Amino acid sequence: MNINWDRVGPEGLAFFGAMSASISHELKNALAVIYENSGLLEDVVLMAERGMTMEPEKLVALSQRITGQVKRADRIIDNLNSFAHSVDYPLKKSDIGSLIDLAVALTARNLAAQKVRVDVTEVRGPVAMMTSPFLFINLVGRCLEAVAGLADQDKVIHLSCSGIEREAALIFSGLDSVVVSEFPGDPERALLKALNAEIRLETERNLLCLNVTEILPST
Amino acid sequence: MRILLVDDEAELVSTLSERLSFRGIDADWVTSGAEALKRIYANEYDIAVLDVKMPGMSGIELAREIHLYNAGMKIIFVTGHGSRDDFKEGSTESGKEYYLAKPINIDGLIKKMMEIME
Repeated sequence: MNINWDRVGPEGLAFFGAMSASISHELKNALAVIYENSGLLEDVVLMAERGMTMEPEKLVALSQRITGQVKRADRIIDNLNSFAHSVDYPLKKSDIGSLIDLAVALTARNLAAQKVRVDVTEVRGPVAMMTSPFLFINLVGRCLEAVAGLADQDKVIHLSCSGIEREAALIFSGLDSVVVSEFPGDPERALLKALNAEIRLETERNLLCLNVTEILPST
Repeated sequence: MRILLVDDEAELVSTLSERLSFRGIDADWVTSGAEALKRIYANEYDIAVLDVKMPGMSGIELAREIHLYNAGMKIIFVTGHGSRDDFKEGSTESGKEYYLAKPINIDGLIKKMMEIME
C-alpha cells in the first residue's frame, strides 16, 4: 500500500472521532426515549393505584416503543462494532457493499442535520476485493459529506456500486451540481492514492464517480 | 406555566409532554426549529425546552430566533453531550438559558422550570 501516513493519519483520526461522537449522540437519544417511556410506565401504574383506569393497549404501545428503541440502540452498537473492527487489518478482502452500507449508516446523522439522506440504490455484486476497510469507509464518508450540500430538491443522494474484475465503481447521483470547493483536496488525494482509487466529476450529468481498484499485497 | 418542547425525536418529546401533563404542566411539543417558531408566533409560552442538535436549525440558532421575537422567554437546552462548554461557545448572550443533560430526569426538569419561573 502506498500510504502517506502524515496526511492520512490525522484525517483518519478526525474521521474516527467525528463518527464516534455521532454514534454516541444517537445512542444517548435512544436511551433517553427508553428512559422516558419507562418513566411513563411508572406514571401509568401510579395513576392506576390512584384509581385511574389502566388501558392494556397503552401498556402494549409503551412496551413496543421501548422494544423498538432497544433494537435501534442494538443496530447502532453493531455499526460501532463494525467500525471499530475496520482498523483490525490494514489490508483485507472486504465486501464492498457492506463497507458502503456502514459508511452510509455512520454519516446518516450528520447528513440528516443538513436534511439529506442517502439511498443505496444498487450494489451489483457481490463485490469483494482487497482494500483497507477503514480508509475505504473514510473516503466514502468524505465523498458523502462533500456532496451533501449539493443534493437536489429531493434531498436524497443515490449511491450505486458495481464491480468489474478487481475494481469497484461507485456513483453518487441526485445532485444539482458536482462543483465542490477544494474537493478532492489533500486529505482525499492521500486516501485516493492509498486506496488505488480515483474520483471523476461528471459535470454534464452531475455525477460523482469513485473508482476503487483492488490493492494487491506486496510480495 | 406553559411549555414548548422541541426535539427531533418525536417519541421523546411526545412522551415527556404526556408525563408533564400528568403533573399538571401544559406542554406542547414539536420536532423542528421551524415548527417551534410557528408555535411561538401563535401562542404564549413561558419556557422552551430545546434539544441542542437538530437537523436544519439547531437549538442554539432557534434560541437566538426566539429571543429576537420574545427576549423574556426562558430557554432550557437539553443535550446528549453533557458539556456546559458546548453552550458557552454557541449560546446567546441574554443570560436566560439553562441546560440539562439527556436522559432527562423529569423531576429535575420540573425543579429547573420552577426555579426559572421564580
